[in-house]
Amino acid sequence: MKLMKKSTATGAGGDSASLTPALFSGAPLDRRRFLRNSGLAVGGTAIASMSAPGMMKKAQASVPKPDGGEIKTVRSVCTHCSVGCGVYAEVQDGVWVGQEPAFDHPFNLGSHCAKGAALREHGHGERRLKYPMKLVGGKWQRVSWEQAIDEIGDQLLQIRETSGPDSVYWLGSAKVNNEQAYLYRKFAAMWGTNNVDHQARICHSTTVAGVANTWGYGAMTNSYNDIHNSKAILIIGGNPAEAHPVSLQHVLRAKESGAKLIVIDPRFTRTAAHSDHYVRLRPGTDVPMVWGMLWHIFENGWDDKEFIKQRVYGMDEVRKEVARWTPDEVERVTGVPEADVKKAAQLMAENRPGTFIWCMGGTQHTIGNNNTRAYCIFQLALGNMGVEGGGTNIFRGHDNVQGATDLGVLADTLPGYYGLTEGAWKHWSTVWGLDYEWVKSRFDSGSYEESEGKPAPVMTTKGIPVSRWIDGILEDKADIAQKDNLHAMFLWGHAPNSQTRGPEQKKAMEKVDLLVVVDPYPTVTAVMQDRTDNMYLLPATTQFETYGSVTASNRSLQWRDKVIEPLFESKPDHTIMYLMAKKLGFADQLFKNIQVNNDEPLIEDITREFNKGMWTIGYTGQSPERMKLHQQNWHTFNTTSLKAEGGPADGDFYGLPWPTWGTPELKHPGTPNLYDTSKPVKDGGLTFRARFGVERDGVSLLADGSYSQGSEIQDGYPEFDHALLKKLGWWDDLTDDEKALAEGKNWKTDLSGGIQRVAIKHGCAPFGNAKARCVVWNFPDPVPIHREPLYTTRRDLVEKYPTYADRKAFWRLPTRYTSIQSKDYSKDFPLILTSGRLVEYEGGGDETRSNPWLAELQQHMFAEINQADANDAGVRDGQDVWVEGPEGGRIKVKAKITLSVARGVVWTPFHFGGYFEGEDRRAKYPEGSDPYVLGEACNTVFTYGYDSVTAMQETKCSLCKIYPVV
Amino acid sequence: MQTGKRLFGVVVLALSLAGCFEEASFEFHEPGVYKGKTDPLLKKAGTPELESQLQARLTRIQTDR
Amino acid sequence: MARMKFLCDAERCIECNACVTACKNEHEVPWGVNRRRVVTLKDGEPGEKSISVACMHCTDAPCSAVCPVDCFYTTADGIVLHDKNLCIGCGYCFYACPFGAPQYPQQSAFGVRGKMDKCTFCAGGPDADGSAEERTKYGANRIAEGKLPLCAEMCSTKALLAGDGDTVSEIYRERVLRRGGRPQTWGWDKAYGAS
Repeated sequence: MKLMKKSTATGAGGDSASLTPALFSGAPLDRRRFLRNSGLAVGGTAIASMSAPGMMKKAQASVPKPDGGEIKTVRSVCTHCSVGCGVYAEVQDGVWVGQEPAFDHPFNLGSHCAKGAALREHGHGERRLKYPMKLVGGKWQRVSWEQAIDEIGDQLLQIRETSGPDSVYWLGSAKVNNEQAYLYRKFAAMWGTNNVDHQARICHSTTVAGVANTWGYGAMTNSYNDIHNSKAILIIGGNPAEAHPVSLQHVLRAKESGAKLIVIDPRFTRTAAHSDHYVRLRPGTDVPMVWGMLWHIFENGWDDKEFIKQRVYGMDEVRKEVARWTPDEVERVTGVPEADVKKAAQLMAENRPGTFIWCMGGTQHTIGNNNTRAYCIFQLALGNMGVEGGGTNIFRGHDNVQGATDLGVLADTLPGYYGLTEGAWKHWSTVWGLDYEWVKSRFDSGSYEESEGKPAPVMTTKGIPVSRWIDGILEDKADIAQKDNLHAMFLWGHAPNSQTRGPEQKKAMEKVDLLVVVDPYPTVTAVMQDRTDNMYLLPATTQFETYGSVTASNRSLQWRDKVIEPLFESKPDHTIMYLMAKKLGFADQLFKNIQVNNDEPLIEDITREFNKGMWTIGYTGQSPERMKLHQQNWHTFNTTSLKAEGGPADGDFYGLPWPTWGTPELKHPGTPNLYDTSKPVKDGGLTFRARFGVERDGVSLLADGSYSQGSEIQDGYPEFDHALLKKLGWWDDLTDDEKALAEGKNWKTDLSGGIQRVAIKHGCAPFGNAKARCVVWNFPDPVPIHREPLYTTRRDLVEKYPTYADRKAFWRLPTRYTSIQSKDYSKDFPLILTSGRLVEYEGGGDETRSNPWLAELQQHMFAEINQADANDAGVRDGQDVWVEGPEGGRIKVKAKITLSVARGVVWTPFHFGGYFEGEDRRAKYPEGSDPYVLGEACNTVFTYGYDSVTAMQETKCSLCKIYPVV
Repeated sequence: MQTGKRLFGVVVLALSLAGCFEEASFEFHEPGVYKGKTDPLLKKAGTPELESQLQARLTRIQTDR
Repeated sequence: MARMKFLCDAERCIECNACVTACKNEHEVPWGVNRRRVVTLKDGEPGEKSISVACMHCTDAPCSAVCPVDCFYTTADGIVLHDKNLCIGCGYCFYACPFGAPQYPQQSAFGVRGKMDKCTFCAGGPDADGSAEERTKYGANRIAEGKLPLCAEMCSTKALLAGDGDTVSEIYRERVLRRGGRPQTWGWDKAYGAS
């Protein structure tokens, strides 16, 4: 041993949490070090209790054995967010033994975030729900699948008998694959209800509604990769550095090439840390902020007048509204000084094309649909739409939330956004090969609402949305616009702690007759209620134990192969649907065109079935064969344009981003950037969709002198149908077979695909060529306006910017607005409460908090509190505090004192669960399936409030008070 | 923060220059003679075959492509 | 000859912790032991920076210089490894290390210090490459398989780089030059500039 003379390395010591003390002494504690102090103890307990006897299969060796079988590499896609990162899973003798970077993959180039890099834990699954369980006398009992299906089915049939099909709620999931999502929607239809919905309702429903009503489709317009082409990037209400970390690779590449990054958020996030210009606004003031920027853009003539003239309807009405948002008023409402607003506007104006990115911070509001439309209008004003590097890049949440939305796991539409009209039902009945009258007979024969003065059939009436299922149980029967309350509740892949009004949710769970969870994990549903009986937990597999397609945020469909066989007694969701349908008596109809092998419906048959019906959004060209070809040739796709350069998929865009028009045989390459007129439609070009008619009050809604390259109609045109083809003299371009199917049909309902083929042949977009609209005349606020949140600290603004009037029946339920806002809660609850994400966890966190590699990194639920508010409340850093909301819910969490939030704002992550108002409910989990980390759900405190169009829940503006735990 | 930046700069500088120098009169702290088992990797480490393999992997995976 | 080095580009590091979980995943590192950590300065404030830190595989490794039982050795390409059979878990290397890299897994309920554990640059230990014994004691040996550390290979933004120091600095330098002209960027210019 040699003694050394170096002077740098003294003073190291302390616990393992304090890394590099010499180098970083004096630095404030960061979030993780602050919260990790008791880490070892928590982990120790968790690990020690891990191998509960009788509940675990003998632990399998999960590392490669030198003397084992051949190691094969399976291609899959990460299940933790909508970026859609490719995965190389190494499997030996059926065991997932390794994970390698999928460097060939065009989205992630091998990269992962903490969650993606910890995927292989899904092969261990130590904390999974392992067997079907039944709650008997307050205790979990293991039951067989047969018994569970039988007992649940009998009760469902009984409820159907007494209360009608609408008394069963089918809450679905964005974490199943496309085939399962489609099958789930179809399953609900065969059961005879529109009471089916999924998480998209509470993440981006306001985006889908707002954006689709602006220019046709409600999806991300460009792609993560296309951000390379951006000269400016504006992120509002989003923290992709934590929620979509791999997207930051593309953002930072653009930034390195000179793009300006603007982040607008109430919280100084990890994303904001990388910005060129950070703007802190008061939560819930997005419309004033965007109008404030537009004010400068109009004032300085930075708007793209030619683009507006050719492709935008109603901008003049926006100008009128924007004129009211002078810099002074913007500052009064948002808290942002004029110079900061102007700088953001100027950076976007001077650096075009620029992209506009938003997430939950914009969508989860009572005026969420106003926010999303304001964002779109901003991009229209700058002419940033339909160009590479531009667009509204809406980062979706879960890995398949785009797909589950597209496939209609929603209370207001059938697959493909066909809606619930009689025509839509007839279209899908035809695709299913079923008699429309039989499908109709499955529904309640009564009527819940009037349409054009006549009672509307139940099958055409929107169901109860996810955000309100608790009211479907708790509301007085007389006040609900359906036959009876909900009596059975299925949570099929859903985290209840991601929903607001926790205490009421607990009550609803206790009141409903039958409660069923279908999930790989028990979820917080298993423990947050105090039921004693009639509740079931059915173990579903993860997506690594099955296969199928998944749609990333950029609309690309990717194929996953199966990595391992189902763990324990879990079954893939589509198998469970088959067993349930068989018991309920409609399996023959549900699987008429789908082969079933040993109770497992054939995935490829399901893909081919939706290919036959999804004409609206071009989910028709993505056959299983084409998707598998792309999956095997990841390396041939360009990482910026996503176009295959040579190779077997030459010319295709990766994952055939929808719309991929026509039949697979048409070989449409997919549409990488929506509404991009610089390309012919056949090569992925597009116009704005003619979705809202051809004129309004005598003003044309069709495009004016703008058309996609190579279009034979060099001006706006309506959507294509048989009559238009005939009028244009293009009818005879159809084959005889196509003519037979296309007669009397339009581009959405022609099952031959001929109308689409012929339109594209002539360079036209099947859905027409119109202007985007800034005025959505069928919405409560046709031009987006600001309205104060229901719970606001700014009482001085309520009079000028009031919320809506209460509604008697909105999505079948009474819905309150002004009756809440009219009461002043701000005296007792002086702080704004808002929420967000952590990189280690996803959604409600049941899955990720059960992964020890992730759980170790975030062991405590906490609240970020500004130091001034903490001092006012007498709260010290790291101390336990109560956070209490105006509806009475309260949570006990660790205080994290920080400058990341402004004075007057408290921020909490929403991934925790398993505690309820200070009480640890770990003992209520089925043995051996409790997540490593539990914590209070912030939504125990979050309050009432729903978007005026989609019933999105308000999770970004509520009120609270904080006080120390004594 | 200035201090932090400067220190970080030093680290970056040190890393960037690592492996760049040939020979100089640096003082090394002579480690003891390793007394453990011989790692079979030692035979392989630094061989042209392994080096080129690692090099190819580095440029294929860790660059922006 | 190549010298293996890590580099973390603070302009790109977003503290996503992929490097940490990739390490856990590859080596099945137990709870409480962190061969790699992400450190954030000025958390939640303008000027916030994060970097990922592990054993830096020093050329003149202080751990090796102070070890009382001489259990450290350095491969020809500069990876610092140790023999756990020899290690006595005294923790002196923890004193010496400027980065706090050595970790001491608990081995019993009484919290007695175990053998020292640290980042191996995914190169295992002195046992037969890829053997079950090596894997149990040191984790995977990717280097022997011609692969580089998984933390860098999976980094979400390619902030963390690992490999031959010359090539690593070329990749970094290219990026820094591309960033040139961005006055707000803290990188090459600020590190090497006159000011």
